[in-house]
Amino acid sequence: MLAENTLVILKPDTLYRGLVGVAFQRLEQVGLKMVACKMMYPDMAILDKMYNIDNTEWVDMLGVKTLETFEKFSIDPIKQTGTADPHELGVSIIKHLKEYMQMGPLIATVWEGIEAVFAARKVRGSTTPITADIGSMIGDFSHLSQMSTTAKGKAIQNLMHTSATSEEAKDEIEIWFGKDFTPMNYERTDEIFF
Amino acid sequence: MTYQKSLVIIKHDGVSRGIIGEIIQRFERIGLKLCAMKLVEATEEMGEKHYPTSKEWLETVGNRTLDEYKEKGIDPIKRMGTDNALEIGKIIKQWNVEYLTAGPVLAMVFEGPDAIKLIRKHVGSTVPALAAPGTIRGDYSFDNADLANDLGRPFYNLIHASGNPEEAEFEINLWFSKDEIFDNYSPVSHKAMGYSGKFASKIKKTTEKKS
Repeated sequence: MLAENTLVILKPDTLYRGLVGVAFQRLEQVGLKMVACKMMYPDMAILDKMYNIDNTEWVDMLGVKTLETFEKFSIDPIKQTGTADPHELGVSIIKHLKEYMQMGPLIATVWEGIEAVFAARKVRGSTTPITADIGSMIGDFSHLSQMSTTAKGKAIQNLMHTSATSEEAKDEIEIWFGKDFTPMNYERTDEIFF
Repeated sequence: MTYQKSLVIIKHDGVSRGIIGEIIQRFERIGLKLCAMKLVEATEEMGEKHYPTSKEWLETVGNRTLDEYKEKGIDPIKRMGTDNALEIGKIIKQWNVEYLTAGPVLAMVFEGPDAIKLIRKHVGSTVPALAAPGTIRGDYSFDNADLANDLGRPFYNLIHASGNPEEAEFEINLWFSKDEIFDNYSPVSHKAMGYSGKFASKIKKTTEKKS
């Protein structure tokens, strides 16, 4: 298998909390190679593509997941959010996600490695902090859940985004770095071991 | 004004060794605010501009090397092909430019009270063998000028950091455009000191008035 690229975004809370170095170190120490990096404020055009509201399947899935959490903790979704409709709920989650991504500057990066998508995902940990594994970035640096965040009317602040699949990585790298993206070409001194 | 910005470059030896994160952590831990960051391949032209070109500076660099050679009993003509301070200065500048353009580097701007001094302190002495343990160079580098010069390159020391406010301003403008700098946020470390919200804008205004 050839090396692939994956998108990693250090979201604004990582910068506010001064955890940029920690995040990079964890990616570097598993042998992933940074091939692009820029600090930026994302504009709405980028966020609209990243969190595509027309992808109804995905929007509904976000809503369904949240409803499941509510059910688990016997919370009335209508009392909490004003709706029990998964799509409507999904739409409001996306709104919060975009607000979160514009809370401050963020850092968009691309990392290279064989199975880089899976590797970066593992370093990051699973999306919901409270259930993310200890030893993962999200597990070690947050404890939030849908409960705590929905109660505050905000998105889950989970420090880091990583592409979920190789196809998603290609699309997302294009969204954040443009069609003509060319990764930096250099050798890591320890590359022979990875 | 002591609330200032400084340019930091993790040079290619730092990038290729995969220790970017460890270096950035040092500055974040102090509390400094990251205002700009990009992975970039510096052009020859950028490298040329980054180091001074004045005859005076080149001669200073050349003379420093000649002094060192004298102390160590090294023949400058054998090593550098010349014993002229200006010519040696030019060779060393060329080496430095080659080092800076050897591959992708991570350029950054950090901001905070006494940022320039703090960063320099944590970077440590230019010469790895003299850099104190606990500094970045002391903890992560071991290169030696004589060995490096024999290989026709300067010694590698991982990182560049601005030396004074004038240098910082020049270097930040050289490496970053205005729209690549994001200083309009307050990390938690700044909040703890009250360097946020209204106070942050007060600091900015004082800086503008003075300049």
